[in-house]
Amino acid sequence: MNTGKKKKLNWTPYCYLIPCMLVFAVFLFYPFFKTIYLSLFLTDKMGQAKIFVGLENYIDLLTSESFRNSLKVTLIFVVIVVVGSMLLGLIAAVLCNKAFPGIRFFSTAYALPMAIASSSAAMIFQIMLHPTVGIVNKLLGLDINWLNNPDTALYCVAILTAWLNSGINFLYFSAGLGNIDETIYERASVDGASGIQQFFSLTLPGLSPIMFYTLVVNVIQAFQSFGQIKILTEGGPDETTNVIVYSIYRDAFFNYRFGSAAAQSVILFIIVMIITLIMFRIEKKGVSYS
Amino acid sequence: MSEIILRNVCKQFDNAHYAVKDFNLDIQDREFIIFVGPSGCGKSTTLRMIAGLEDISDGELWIDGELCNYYEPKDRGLSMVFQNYALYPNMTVYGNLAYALKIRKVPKKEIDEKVRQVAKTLEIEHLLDRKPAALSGGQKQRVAIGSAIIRKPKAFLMDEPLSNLDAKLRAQMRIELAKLHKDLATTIIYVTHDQTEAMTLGTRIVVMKDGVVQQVEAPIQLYNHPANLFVAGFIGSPSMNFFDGVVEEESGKAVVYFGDRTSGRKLYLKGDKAETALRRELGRQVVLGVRPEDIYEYEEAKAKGFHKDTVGAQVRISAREMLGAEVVLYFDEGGKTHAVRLSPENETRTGDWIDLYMDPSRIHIFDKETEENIFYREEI
Repeated sequence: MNTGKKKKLNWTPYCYLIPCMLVFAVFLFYPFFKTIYLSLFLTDKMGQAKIFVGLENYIDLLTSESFRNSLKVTLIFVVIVVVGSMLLGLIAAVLCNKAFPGIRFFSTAYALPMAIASSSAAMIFQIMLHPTVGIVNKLLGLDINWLNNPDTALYCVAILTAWLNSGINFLYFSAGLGNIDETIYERASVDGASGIQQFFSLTLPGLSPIMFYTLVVNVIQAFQSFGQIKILTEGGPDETTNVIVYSIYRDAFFNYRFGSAAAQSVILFIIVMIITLIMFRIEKKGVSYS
Repeated sequence: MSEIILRNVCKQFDNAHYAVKDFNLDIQDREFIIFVGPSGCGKSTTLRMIAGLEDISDGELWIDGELCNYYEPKDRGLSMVFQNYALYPNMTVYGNLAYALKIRKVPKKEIDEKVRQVAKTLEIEHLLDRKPAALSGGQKQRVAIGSAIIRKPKAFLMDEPLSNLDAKLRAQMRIELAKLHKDLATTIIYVTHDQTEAMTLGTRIVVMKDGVVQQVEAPIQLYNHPANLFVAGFIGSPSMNFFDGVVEEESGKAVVYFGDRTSGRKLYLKGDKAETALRRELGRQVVLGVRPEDIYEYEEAKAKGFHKDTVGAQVRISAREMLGAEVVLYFDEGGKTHAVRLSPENETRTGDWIDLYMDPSRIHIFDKETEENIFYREEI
């Protein structure tokens, strides 16, 4: 009908997008571009851009020993958190995949970390890890100041975070396991496969789509961990727990160097984006959708 | 060589209720045993107990002279085909076929040879690289059977393997299964609720109801000599017609009065049947059973010489099914629908009255109380 005329642009669908776009603009796009903008300036104490310095903030960061340490600490932290939380979630989900008396209690217990705020979990861990009254030292018969020792502080914070994140992973993996057809295990056991062989040849491949999703979410989440570090170690001792997010917070709100903090945010964003892209690339090989 | 013996095997899921009770069966090498029965009769449970997927609550399971009650499924040397095929979704057809050999650490070259050989037998060579999701029902079925036959198990267990296929494919696979049984020369235990499969495939059929074995017999024996009312009604389609009746003596002859007493319907028994009926059921309430193909119209009954043995069975046809090779007429009586199988030339229409004659040598008499076929023990 309209082939002869130029098609008139229909604005109606775009109008429906306006409310959502407004929210995005205020809370996402504006801060995002403002951060990039700020990262190119020196700022005053109120966070107002004052002097344009170009890429100088970035150059300073990349040559600074402290920031390189932050990068290293962050990567170690992320690896421990992601591996730990996924393993914990997976093991718990596999254990709870069988029906037995009291299953509800265990399921609830394993999913519970999801419902605990990171700050309250941090408070609990602080008491548990206390050098004199903490239960950890009491049980192990040790005398270690876990959170103030540069050798242990990062691991403590990372393990706490892994435990915190394991709750939601448990839920994801439980749902994933529920989707695997029960009879393939029966066939495998008649075929002669042991429990371990079944786990590696059936369960893991069956979980791979959900595992990929969990991995992506966990990596992003791990990079953004903040509350527990703020409460437990404040980046210390000796910057051994000074992950990028905490470093950003410190630069912005203690040192009032908003430009540098903004530049760190941009770098963090780039790192997370690259890792996510890599994961999606690998997904095509490793994940089997049946 | 494989011999499977079940001795008083029971399955209890909770204390009150037996899913399978006192199951006794000696399965010889190379038999094709069929477990058949309505849903919930315990046939699948029994198969799963043999496979080791369910614990045996009581009784003994012997495979090749070894008591296997507590053997893990993998140590029983059986292979199983599941109703939903149970293909490993993340593996290709090749991987599915090879899996059982791979975990047994068979050399790769040997696996490859066997996979290709089995794929050739089942005509699935072109599918080896596909994932199960990309297969049709019939193809999945072949892969499932292929993964079962690739190693040489002591016996095959098949749990309703054809029930998810359409009618045409099912008929085709049925023939292939029979051929496979001949080629493999192994024992097969096969669960089905489809009596056509049971009748065509089995060397012996085990009919089950409510967890209890009703009868174990070769198909034709089962059809001609059902042990009780349940087996008689379950095997055969359309199923056997039943009429309430009573056995009496009339001037030295055995007579079964059936249907409405005032109608005067009766059937004279002859020979051994007459003798047995008089001896066992004289004056007792019985159920008279006759298969649809053992009822005739006057002309045919006369030709066969028993037109004087049935009296007064005139009925009104309530439905007519033309099946091509035969015509099935239905009539209602005593709150039940009865079927008659006649030659396709028969012109009777719905609503017509028709005189029917039962072949007295082919009828069955069941005791009303025990539901047992009174001729069963004497004839077998």
